[in-house]
Amino acid sequence: MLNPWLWATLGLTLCLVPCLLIILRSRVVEGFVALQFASFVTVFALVTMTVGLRQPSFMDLALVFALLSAASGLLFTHFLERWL
Amino acid sequence: MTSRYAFVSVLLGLTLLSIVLCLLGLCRSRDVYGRLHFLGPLSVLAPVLLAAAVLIDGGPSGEGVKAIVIAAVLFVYGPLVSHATAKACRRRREPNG
Repeated sequence: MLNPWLWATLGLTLCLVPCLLIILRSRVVEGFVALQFASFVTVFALVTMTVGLRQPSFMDLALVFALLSAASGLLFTHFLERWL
Repeated sequence: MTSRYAFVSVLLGLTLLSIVLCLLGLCRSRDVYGRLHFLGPLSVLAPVLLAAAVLIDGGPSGEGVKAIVIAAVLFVYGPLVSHATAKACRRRREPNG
């Protein structure tokens, strides 16, 4: 029997599918917005998976992913503005 | 079912609902400026609800503190990247609507 956290993880993972479709079918800039959306959802999914599986070490993964997606997102916008 | 379990379930449900509504808006928007708006609740509302659920479920533990830090990172970074993306779109002269 899944606990509410794992049900939330499943729901969040399913939310990544429309993001993938937008990324594949849209232009670069719109795909980038969908990519940012997907990275937020991934952070949430990692947090819910951490609590659902009772593995506290996974929370470090979510934190590192949040920080790296912040930096990479800003770097992407820099390239979108000038070169892409 | 204890009240804490029910409260955590409600918070998780609200988090998921806010994300699904933002996803619907993202899919239905016609241009990039409209899509950028739906990153807002995702960086402000959803992390706060999720951090609250983690704190209520596990108490003030290491997990709870990290959830608060994650919420703070997303709270600061979300509007920042939205603004930077909108600025990049204006520079590129992306069509509006």
